[in-house]
Amino acid sequence: MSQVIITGLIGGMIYALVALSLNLQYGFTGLVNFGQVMFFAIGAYGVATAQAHGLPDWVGIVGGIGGGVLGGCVLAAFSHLQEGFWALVSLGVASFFLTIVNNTPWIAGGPLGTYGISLWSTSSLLYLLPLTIAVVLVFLERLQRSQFGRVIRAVRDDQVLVQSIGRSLIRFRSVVLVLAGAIGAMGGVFYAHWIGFVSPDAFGLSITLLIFVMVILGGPGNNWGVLIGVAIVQTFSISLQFLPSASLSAGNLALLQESIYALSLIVLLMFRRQGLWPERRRRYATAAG
Amino acid sequence: VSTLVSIVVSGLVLAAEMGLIVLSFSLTFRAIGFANFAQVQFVTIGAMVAVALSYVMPLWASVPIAMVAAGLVAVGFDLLIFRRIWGASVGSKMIISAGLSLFLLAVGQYFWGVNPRIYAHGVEGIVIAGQGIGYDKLVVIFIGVVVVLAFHLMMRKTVAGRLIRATADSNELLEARGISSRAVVTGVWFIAGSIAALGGALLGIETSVSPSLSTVILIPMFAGAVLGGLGSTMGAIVGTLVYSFGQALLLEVDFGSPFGTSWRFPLAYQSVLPFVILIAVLAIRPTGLFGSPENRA
Repeated sequence: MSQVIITGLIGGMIYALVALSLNLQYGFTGLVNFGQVMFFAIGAYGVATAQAHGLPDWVGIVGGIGGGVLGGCVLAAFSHLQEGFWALVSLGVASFFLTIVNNTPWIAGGPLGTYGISLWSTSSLLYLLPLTIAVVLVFLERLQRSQFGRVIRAVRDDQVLVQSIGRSLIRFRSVVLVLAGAIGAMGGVFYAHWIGFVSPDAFGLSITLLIFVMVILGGPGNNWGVLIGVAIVQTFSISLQFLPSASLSAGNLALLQESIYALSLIVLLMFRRQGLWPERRRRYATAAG
Repeated sequence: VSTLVSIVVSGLVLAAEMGLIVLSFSLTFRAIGFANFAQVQFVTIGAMVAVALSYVMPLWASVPIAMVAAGLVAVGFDLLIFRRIWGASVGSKMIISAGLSLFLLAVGQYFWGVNPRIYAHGVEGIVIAGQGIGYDKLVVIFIGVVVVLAFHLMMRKTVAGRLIRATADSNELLEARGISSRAVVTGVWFIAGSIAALGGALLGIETSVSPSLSTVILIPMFAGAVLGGLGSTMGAIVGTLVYSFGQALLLEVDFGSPFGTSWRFPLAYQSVLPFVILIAVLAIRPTGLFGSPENRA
């Protein structure tokens, strides 16, 4: 029982990093990244690739996060596109990346994956992860309150306004994507050192869906709300495991879980787009009152 | 010669199947203004219904039933979801349609399982220039050509086609004439759903059918549509033709032969092609071959 709770906690904290990364893109900047799972996968594959080629651990960590930055740069190259076009690109780039690592055994074992990644102990994960999340959270909160934060929210809400005050949409989106790539990849680095095994099967479109549920349920544009969203979804998935095993096969349980997530995404976006803990919008005094 | 015949035939077959799917996608895109992920589920529903019914009735009956069924499902989701989110942002609509698609995939896998199934009927063939070609391939190509021509005539020559084009261009103008654009959009969903289903039923003749078919065709559908120009139904056909023949050429030609060696495109990377096309077109020319700049994704 306590083992299950610890597993859920560590998994939840890893998701929290990926969700904060998506919140920076979707919640704050309005970028709908259908390939969010790619940042997560890049972090894990940085570690796995280093392991597969006998390189020291730190190379994998640096490579994973650096890879996330690089992935962000690739998506940033398309940030001049309109919302919908960019969303299609994000899906295409992520699928491209995952297909390449799946079909190129040289990188990290191809479809078989990479085993034997050095495991980080539960106790070290239990202080390293909260520490990382705290640092990321402080950074994101400061960023959000800064002028940069005001501009990216304007990028989301009113692009004409941003351009009319002489700001470049492309530059702000690009910075956001690079940061989000690094944060999302951190989740992947932790994942690889937690599970010790990285294969392409772990990174499907359904992970992106799961992260979107967490962000939209919690409150896009509100980092604390997103963390609560992660906690709720993760608690739900863990508690599903306690269903009497006779009532559902493992495969059907996974299907049930996925259909609930998909359905909640539809319902949330139709009826409560701002999430359970909406972003607090600051009011500014205007001449018109 | 036999290589050439096989390239032409496999290119045409792929173009006929995917062309219908991309056509249906572009049609909904034009009417509702966003890239609908759930379109691939109408394809899959069509394929699954046609295959399942083929065990109890002939194909000429099971395929039309599958088309009507998928059309009705599409109309159902229009009434239930899509017409209620008219004012939402493009991104929100895309996420909703992706959620719907994954929901239907999970439901499909629950009821159908993961096993692929094939049509009950066997396939015979003829030989052209030393190359065996199944009748099924010729039938697929024939149906594809007929439907595309019929669709084109409908859009250009009939009142329904005029209404659809008018809705895509300006709702207000249509409403001013006392015509409900929502009713037209519902009609578009039905047509798009059934054309998608026909594409799926034809795909099922060439391959086997399972719920995961939707996952396989999602990006090729986007790639074909973007290549032709999002929202352009003519572009959908041309885009898919270019795409299909490009793929057939790339896979069948021995690129090493002019240099006295042998080098073929590695089959392992075949699945990367649609992603590359999608990314490359959006990088170089987001409006594709025939898209107009006003069309937004």
